[in-house]
Amino acid sequence: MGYERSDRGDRGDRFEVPTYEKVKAKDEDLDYKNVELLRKCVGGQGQMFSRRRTGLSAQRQRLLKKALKRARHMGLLPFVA
Amino acid sequence: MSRIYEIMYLLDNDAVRAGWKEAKAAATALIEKHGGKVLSARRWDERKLAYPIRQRRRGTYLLAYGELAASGVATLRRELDLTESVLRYLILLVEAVPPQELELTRAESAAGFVVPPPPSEDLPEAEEYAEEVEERAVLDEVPAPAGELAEEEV
Repeated sequence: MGYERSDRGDRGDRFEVPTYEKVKAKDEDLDYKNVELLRKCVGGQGQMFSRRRTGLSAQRQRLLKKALKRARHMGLLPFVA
Repeated sequence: MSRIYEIMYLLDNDAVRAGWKEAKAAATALIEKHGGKVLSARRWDERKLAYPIRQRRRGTYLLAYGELAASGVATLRRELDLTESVLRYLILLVEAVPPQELELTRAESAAGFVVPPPPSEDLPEAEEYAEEVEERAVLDEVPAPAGELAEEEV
């Protein structure tokens, strides 16, 4: 998408930072068997949400990644949908 | 030295339909065959798969915990790869067997426990197709939330 550069100031004027409802997974067990939780952390096509959208720490986001991949392997979640 | 592993099986429903006890026994026997000790084993769930695996749309999950030597794990993996009734498996190292697993295993072995037979699977294709069409229709109607679109542009 292109846009014209203008003299209307910095980028903050033109871009609205999207806000998401974070997935509340702070204290939950990030395990591949916890399919209900993992489902909340992926989008409609089955892609994993970013940390910005899951609200997880880097460490726990990595655990989420592992869990998601394991769940996919076992046929619990789709690779693509 | 042996360690404790969590072993999740995805079993073919055809094997489960022939008898849950037999299917479970066959799966756990593999652990013992490779020098392991079965600590717990139970039916975790029966569900529709997220994608078809070997033309199966549904499957039964068996969650087992066992004590195995590392060499046993390697040979077990090899055998599971060759076992037709096991569609998928996942072997993970764990610290200990979760206590609720032991309880659930006990509950399953109790006399009154009935394992529901898996529903027939491959038949309702027409129905599923209708569902898919419906889903697509819903997707078409509802435009993506503004937030998602904005993210793509960033």
